[in-house]
Amino acid sequence: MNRNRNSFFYSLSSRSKRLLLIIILFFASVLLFISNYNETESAKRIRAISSQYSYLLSSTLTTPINMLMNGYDKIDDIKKVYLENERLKGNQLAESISFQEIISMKLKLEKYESLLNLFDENDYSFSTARVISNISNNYINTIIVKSGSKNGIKTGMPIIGLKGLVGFIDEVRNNTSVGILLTNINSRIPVSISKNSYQAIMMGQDFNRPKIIFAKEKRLIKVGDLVSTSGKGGIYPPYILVGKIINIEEDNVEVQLFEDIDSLSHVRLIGFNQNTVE
Amino acid sequence: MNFFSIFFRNQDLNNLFFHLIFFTTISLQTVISSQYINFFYILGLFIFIRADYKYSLGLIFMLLIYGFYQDSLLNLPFGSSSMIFLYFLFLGQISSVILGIHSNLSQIYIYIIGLLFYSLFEFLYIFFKYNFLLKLDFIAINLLSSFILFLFFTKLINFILGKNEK
Repeated sequence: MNRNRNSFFYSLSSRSKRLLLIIILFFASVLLFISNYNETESAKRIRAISSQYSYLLSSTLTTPINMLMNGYDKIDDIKKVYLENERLKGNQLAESISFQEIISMKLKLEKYESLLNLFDENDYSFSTARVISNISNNYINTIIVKSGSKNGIKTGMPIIGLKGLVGFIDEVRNNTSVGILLTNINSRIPVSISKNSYQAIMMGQDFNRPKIIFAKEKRLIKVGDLVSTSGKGGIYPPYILVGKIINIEEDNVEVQLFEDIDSLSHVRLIGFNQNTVE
Repeated sequence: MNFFSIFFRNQDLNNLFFHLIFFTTISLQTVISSQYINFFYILGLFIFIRADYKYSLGLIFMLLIYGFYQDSLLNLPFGSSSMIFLYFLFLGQISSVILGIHSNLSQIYIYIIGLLFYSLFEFLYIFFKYNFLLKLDFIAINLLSSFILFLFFTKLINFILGKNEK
């Protein structure tokens, strides 16, 4: 029986053999893709090991291009720093007054909180991690950071940049972690809009700006309103700046993120103890 | 004769050239991202051009391995990239069986129809899985850039072949 089967394969022309093999392997891949294997523990283990070597291989291969791109970014950064420095020199006096105001407001706030006997909501730790790759195409918008379970990183940890929220940790490996960015179509974040705290959900839209969905007071939202995390659902701590409303067209409300997601080099991962998924 | 066999007369060198370009392109996805270029389409184009009569059975298995490499690198579900790579290999094979190897202009119709089917599948998959509609203008731009790249490769092949004949 086995011999017959083999002789059938060998009797085929080389073109037919190739076609048959392509079809068999194609359907095997389809089965693997649609099955629940990717959710299993063994798949996660295999992925953790294979991705580690894949990154090593890919980073070795792309080093020259990476160096070129980094060099260009560095020159661009220096130019930005120079311009920023010039601007700051001009605004030094105004900035110092604003700084004084912020400090006095902070002191006042702390005093009121102690009078109201409020517990400290900002009780979370930070850990800084280097971004080793930023993968974006039509619907994959993820970053890979060089911190993993060995560094105490856990699934669900919010990721923030210098100016605001960037995303959250989706998968943790030994030395690296995968973060889902706010622009990813899989990202849904409970947000609070404007000083009136309109509650809504912000959804990623691949390369476009994220949009606001499920807002009860959508018609009250105005261009320029600030968007911050609401803390609802317990995944993100409250009051983390996200962006501002930039465009409103009928039912479509878009948010301009404060953080430039394409040029992230380092991020901070928030250890929001009570809410990170164990 | 295809793009990956115009530079070297030695078959092993041709294969090495293809694998090097293919592998580097997959790896580049971790450092380069653009909304105007879909790397999946470009990788599909490489495979489609490579799928002539002469490739060995080893290439099929190598594409399967490259698929797993891409899945690990981009954090995609296992099987998804191999499925796409083998789809383009099948398409290229069918195209060379029906049209022959040298009919580049006719091949482009099969490539574009294949890409449209793939884009439709991607569009429906994203819609049903994430309840999200991919922007049609981005898909159109990606298709157009792949089309231009295909034409560029075809012209380059003809140019080099013409030069060699002289």
